[in-house]
Amino acid sequence: MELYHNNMSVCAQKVRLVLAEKGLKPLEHHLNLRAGEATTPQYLKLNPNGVIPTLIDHGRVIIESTVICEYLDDAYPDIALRPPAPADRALMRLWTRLPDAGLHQACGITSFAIAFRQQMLAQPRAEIERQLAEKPDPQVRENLRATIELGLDAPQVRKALADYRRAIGRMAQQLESTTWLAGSGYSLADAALLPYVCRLEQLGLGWLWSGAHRSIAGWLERSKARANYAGIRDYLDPKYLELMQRASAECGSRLRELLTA
Amino acid sequence: MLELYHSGTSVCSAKVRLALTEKQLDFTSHVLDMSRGEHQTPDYRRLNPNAVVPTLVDDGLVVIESTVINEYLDERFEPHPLRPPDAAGRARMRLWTRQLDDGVHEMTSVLSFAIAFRHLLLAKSPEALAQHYAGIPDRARRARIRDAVENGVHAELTATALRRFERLVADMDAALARNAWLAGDELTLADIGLAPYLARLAQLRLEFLWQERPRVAAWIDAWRQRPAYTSALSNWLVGSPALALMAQSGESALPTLKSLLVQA
Repeated sequence: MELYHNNMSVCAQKVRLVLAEKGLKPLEHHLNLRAGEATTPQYLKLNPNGVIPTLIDHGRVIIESTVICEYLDDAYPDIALRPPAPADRALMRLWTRLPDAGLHQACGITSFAIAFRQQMLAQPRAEIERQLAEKPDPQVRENLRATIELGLDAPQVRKALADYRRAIGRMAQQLESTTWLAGSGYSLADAALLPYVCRLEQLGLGWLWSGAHRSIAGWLERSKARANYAGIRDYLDPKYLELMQRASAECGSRLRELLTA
Repeated sequence: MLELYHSGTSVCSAKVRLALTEKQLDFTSHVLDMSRGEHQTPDYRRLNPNAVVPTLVDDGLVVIESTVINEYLDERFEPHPLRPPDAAGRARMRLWTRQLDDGVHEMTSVLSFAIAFRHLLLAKSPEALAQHYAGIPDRARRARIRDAVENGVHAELTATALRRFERLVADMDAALARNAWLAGDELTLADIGLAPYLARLAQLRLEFLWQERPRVAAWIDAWRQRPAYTSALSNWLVGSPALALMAQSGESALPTLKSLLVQA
């Protein structure tokens, strides 16, 4: 089994959480995304969308993290990460589809508008343009350009923060009545959402679950106490963490204003 | 007992009706008149907080989101399986079904409103229109629909939507070169997921998108020969004013839409 991934990517974190929970250890290929390693002609043959992660299992190429996670549970069912009852599985899938239905985009916009734009802006203009031109999806390219140029003033930011806040609200409500997102057992739903909550924490936004949403805090603690959290922790890049912490401190009051509006 | 809250015109409703019909499951039908805002009432929102159709109720259990509903139906009722038996086949199938949630549905609503349904909303009084917008809980969806209503085919996302479907049809063509149906040689939830979207494009007179893709055209023909296609999809639109509106406004928008693709 082989995994093409990246240390800080939320989608890669999600798949590594599932692999670790199941005790699977693929051969890892770490791609440097800023150097365009996910858009080389060779990689595009594996993953036409030019994104990570890509899993190769018995010669079969599986792409898209949500699909990969369900695949892993279908192909390696011994440690099951989906509840057995159809009703609970439906609840689980309502959670796993959230990233695909907007939350992932919100996470990218938020991360760039607060922090990663600084890495981009430190480069020559021509290099920024080269990296933008590499993005196959025009909407992703447009979002990226706006957040690099305008930061928190980009028009996409309000919607992204609203989407993020709504997801947090829904999770908090669920976690008031159940230990894990899809019921009493840990499932793909928890693995799918943990990277997005960790990202908020890295961006200095942990205060979002200090008040009414504090059921998130307990879930976060339980999730981090599991052995599979190594799938996030062991890959964290200290340079990125430092950047996110510093950049969010610089715009903390503006962020708070946007998030409580 | 299975109950379905749905509407005749909604693509996601057709997707669930196709799954129910292919699985030969009976259901009690509750048709909501969306033009009268029946999907935005407090009672319905208690079932479906997103105020969208469809909603399935299975002996009191509420299931929302059509992709989730269809997998639920296939897990809950084993006869007439609609998912490949193997893990790799299921991954192929889900690569199709998740695309619908990740952009394809959104782009379909852009085109449907920009070309056709805007005329229904523009006929409302300004107060009624404002109330309609206010009833859409998702802020981004509200903004997209508003742009499509106000600007028609010149809405910001029209060209993006057309390009997305060009790519979708190309991807379908490539898959159909390998197998009879999208995820393998048997019909699956992938085909069920895509069928109502291609039907919508045809209703909007956008068949030119697959005029050079005979395999996609053949897939549509194969669908049309299945009894479920008639009973779960076409029959719900017979005599619908929406159908006439889509045909008529689609016809007049066609030259502009084609020129948008050339410019893009």
